[in-house]
Amino acid sequence: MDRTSLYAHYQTMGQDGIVFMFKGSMSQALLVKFGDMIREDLFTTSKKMSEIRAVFSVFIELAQNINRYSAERVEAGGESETGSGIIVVSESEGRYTVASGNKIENSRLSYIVPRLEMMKGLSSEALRKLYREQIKATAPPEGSVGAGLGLFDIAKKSGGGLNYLVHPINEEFSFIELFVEIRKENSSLSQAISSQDVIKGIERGQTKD
Amino acid sequence: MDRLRIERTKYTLEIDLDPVSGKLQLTGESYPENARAFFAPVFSWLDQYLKTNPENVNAELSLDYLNTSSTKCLLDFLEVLEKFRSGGGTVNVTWFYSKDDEDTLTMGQDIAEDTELPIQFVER
Repeated sequence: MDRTSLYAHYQTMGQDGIVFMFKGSMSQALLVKFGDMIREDLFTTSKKMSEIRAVFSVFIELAQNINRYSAERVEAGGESETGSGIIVVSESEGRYTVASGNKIENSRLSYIVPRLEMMKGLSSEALRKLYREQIKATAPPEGSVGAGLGLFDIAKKSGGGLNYLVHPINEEFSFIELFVEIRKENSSLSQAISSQDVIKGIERGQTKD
Repeated sequence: MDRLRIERTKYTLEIDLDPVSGKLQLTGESYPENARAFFAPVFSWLDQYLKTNPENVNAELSLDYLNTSSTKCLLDFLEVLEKFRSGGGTVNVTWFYSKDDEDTLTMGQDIAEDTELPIQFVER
């Protein structure tokens, strides 16, 4: 990478509101550290614990998803292996977005895509119900909770803002991108504004005049 | 029978299972790489303990974020207690939650709907 492209990266990241980005081998030790960083970082800009919790939990699920299921494996010493991928947290006026990308076997893709399609357009309430049914029904194999269950949890937490994109690579592999939107509380219509806030707003407006 | 204590880490729960008082405490956050492996000693302890036919079992759960595989383990833990209860044992569950954590409260309420175990909600 030359110097001009680094500047271009810097500018693009600023424009996209990127608060965190990582590409590489997603070990448990790293994702724990990243999760901490993201929580601390969000806490300096947002005091809404529920938002911070939602971003954090979606980040952990997506990061562990990369670790477990990415088709790009890296030896992590001993018998253990870590999956590689990319994960990005960004912020815009009305929402946070957590996005992840990793290489995936096409055979696994045919298992995941119908699940993602099924969740499209479902209400938060329907997603919550679906998650509850799925978690009760899943008998987890050793060391894993069973493929796909994390996705139901993510969809539930985002209240339906889970989208995906697939880039075919070859007969064996594709690259999958998952985008999870978490709406900020003050931009949600269902969130009632407390009368305290309205009063403060009026006061501020008056002093300006 | 020995008391089982596991110290809390950043991503695993504090476990304190006391066979004398019957108090079973699970506290903290859980998102290890392999939740099954973490919970394995908890389940084997619980099996042994319930075989002694304890008079009063009190589970005290004070939880924050749990990843999906840890949530599954928690449900299994409660299912073991529910089996013991339906077989004639006495089990009480206390679910501690913080006021600003709707997720943990909702999770507890969902669990309460699906189980016969008596769950008491307490703000911490």
